Amino acid sequence: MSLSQEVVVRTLLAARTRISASAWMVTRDVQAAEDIFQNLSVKALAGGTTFDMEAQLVSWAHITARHEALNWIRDRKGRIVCLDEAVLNLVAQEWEETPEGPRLKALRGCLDGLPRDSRQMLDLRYSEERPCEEIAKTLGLGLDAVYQRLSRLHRALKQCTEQRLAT
Amino acid sequence: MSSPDDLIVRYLEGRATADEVATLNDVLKQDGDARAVFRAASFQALTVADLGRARAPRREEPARWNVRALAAAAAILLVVAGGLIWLLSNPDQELVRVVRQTGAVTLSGSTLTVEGANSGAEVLLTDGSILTLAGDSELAFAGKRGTDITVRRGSVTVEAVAQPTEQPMILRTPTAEAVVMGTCFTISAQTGETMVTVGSGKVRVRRLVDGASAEVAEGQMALATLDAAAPLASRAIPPLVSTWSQAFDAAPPAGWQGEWVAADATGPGRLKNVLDVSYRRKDGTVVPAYVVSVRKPSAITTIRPDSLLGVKWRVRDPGIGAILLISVQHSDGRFAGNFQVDLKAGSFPADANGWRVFAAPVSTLDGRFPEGAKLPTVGRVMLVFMACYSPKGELEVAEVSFP
Repeated sequence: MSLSQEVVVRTLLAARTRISASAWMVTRDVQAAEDIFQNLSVKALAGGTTFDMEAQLVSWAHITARHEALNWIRDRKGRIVCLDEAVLNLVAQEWEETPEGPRLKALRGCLDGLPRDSRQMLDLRYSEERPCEEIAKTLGLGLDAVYQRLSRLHRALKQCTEQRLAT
Repeated sequence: MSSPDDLIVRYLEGRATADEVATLNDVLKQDGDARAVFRAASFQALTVADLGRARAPRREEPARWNVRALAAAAAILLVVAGGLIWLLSNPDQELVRVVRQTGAVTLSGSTLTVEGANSGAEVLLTDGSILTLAGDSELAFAGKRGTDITVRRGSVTVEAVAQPTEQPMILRTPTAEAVVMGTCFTISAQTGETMVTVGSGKVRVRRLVDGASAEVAEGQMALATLDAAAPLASRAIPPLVSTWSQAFDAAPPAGWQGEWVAADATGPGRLKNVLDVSYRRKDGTVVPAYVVSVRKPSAITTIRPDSLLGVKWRVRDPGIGAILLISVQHSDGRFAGNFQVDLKAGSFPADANGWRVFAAPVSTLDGRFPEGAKLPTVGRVMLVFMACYSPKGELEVAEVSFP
């Protein structure tokens, strides 16, 4: 028996950030990733494809997001260098299958606990989508220091999130 | 040599060279920990972007949602209405989310402000209802579901999902309140009066000055003022004519934005541009527009894609272009889109006094909000807007018509 529209919607929304992330890893453009999520939602609801299980739907959504993102890049005629599709596939296969709500909540708690300058750096980079070079100038740092701080922040947030989920 | 974590950040920034991407490919193929960091960083980045948008909409340019995407959002949210109880019970859920915007739109706490005649926003409530604000307007959201809404000013079109009878959506203006049971309608709050027009479903309108109420059904409208002696009655929305014309031999009727100038040796009576908000920069400062416009909550005219639109205008500096925009609703009151054409002065011959004429089917205007919007088979024009973005332009409009 195929999933009802309601279940399709609930399942897609419960994995929205992850599915969008599958597109964003390719496009690195937040708006494009959102557009792709919306488009694949239309496809899922349009009934051209039926899904028997939530996991099947989520898997299809990640693959579709990646393909649409690659098409988005191709439309830009190779100006954007991207990871190999096989690597992207490997990355996507390892997403958790559980609803992302608890992880989001844990991550938000970790973000709230960050020092102000760290949060500012994340906001500048991902909320305002400013390039690291501009962030370096804004914050009076060297470019390498910005890359290092961001990479440490990502790892620290990952650990913090996992700790919160474990407790 | 960059560490794998630094490479991930550079790649996600879009700045990694081809060699660095090749290196990252190799690392991710072999290293499960690096893949986990890569996934985590992507998840974190989108979450930070989402949180930033919830605090204050960040993009200044019109959102790039296409029509299908919009349909998806609508479809999703309508279906969601019945099922996503878990979403509603999530204490972290924002009351409203701006899903599309154009021009100056600010979401501050639970107050949404739209500034500028051609600015607009579409917001989603947690229950899946969709609100479209067009032009200068301000809404405040309260209640557990954000459905206790104060319309401080302006016009909002509501596409409400079925509402719980014990706690329906309520929209309050300074002069009236509308209780919604699941419907599509437009409510416009102006000084001293509130107009409600219902595209589908039913709305109960209560006049605040005396508590009188009326049910407004599909295809009907009601006007609530501060005059308790006037009857508060629901009446049929008057059929709109499909031709419409406005010249400015005399001062224009209410609803027009512009400074009236009487006829003189250089031209007929006209409206001269006035300053309005175009959009806000990220630092909150305003980018002005020089505007002549008209908005009518009950619509200006009906159009079809082959309907003609004519404008007679001039600018002081012929090197400065202008834009012409119309905002259109579907016949049932749903927002259809903003449609725009760029009027480059050099593309239109001027007479001796500098007057130029644009006349073309409305189908030649581009859908700009949402991007790629299509004109409905039959639409209702709610706004006609002309603007230039330089004070040197001194835009003047002598006639607007849908002949």
